[in-house]
Amino acid sequence: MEFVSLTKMPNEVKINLLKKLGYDSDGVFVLDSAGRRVRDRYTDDEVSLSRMLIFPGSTVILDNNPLSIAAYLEEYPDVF
Amino acid sequence: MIKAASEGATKGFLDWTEEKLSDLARGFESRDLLFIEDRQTIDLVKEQRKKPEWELAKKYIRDRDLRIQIQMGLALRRLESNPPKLKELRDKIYKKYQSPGLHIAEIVQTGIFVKYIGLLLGQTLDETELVEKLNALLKENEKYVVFIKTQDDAYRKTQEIVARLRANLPPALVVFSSGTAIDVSLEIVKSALTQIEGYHQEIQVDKDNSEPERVKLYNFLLRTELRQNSI
Repeated sequence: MEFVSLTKMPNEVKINLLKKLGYDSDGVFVLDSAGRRVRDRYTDDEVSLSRMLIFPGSTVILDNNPLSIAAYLEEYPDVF
Repeated sequence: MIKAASEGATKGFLDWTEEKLSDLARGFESRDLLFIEDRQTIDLVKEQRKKPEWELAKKYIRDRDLRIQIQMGLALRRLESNPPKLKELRDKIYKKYQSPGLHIAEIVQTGIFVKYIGLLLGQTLDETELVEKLNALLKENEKYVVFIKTQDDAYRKTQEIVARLRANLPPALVVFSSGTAIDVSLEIVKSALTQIEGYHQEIQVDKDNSEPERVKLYNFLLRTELRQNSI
């Protein structure tokens, strides 16, 4: 699996990408199709554009922190 | 002409972006791509999952939350040289798992967990018993682990340790301290051992990876009958 870094991607481009994946943004946070802020399923933190991590397979969007990643890998150990 | 050129440049940028984004979206849907702000965090987690300590732990610990807490302990150890990231992760662990989960992560971070495995390997009859005792160490860690800080009241901590030993009769209780807390820790254990029978101490010392001039002290209070009966 290849990693695509979002570090140098302008926010407008990130938002366009999110829209292609069925999401949106208010410029700060990631929003779902109903306009609600997406929450990290493992920490319940609201996911921001500057800290988002997008896994394929049902498009899981997480906050970029070790706990969320470890929890995801426990659920999907074969992702890498 | 300038307007046309700028329109052309803008359109060109938008076309490139649109095409590139469509390629990325297709790559994502085919599960070839993962989007991340930076790789450092993923690499940190992957690095801990390769460690022999994790390989050993995952063999005996099946509970998903315990497994995550163990990995967070390893990550905390790795982040000791980065105080802001360390605090951020500690806060996340506490938010999700509260004090019990944070204590488990600290037990792994400080090296207590792996030392306890070594202790149990020589005292258990089979793997079933080992699994049971390791899970008990983590889930009921207040019975088996005491952390001493420099500012702790020596008398109160002594009484706490004596009470725990009398109430639970654990095969081993680990009293952990580091740096300037070591002196008070030794005083506490010495005093505790004068008040309770059937236990002796064994000490291990490690260097602190984040501060090499600072040491970590693991004071194992072991049930004497186990020493006599151990293999």
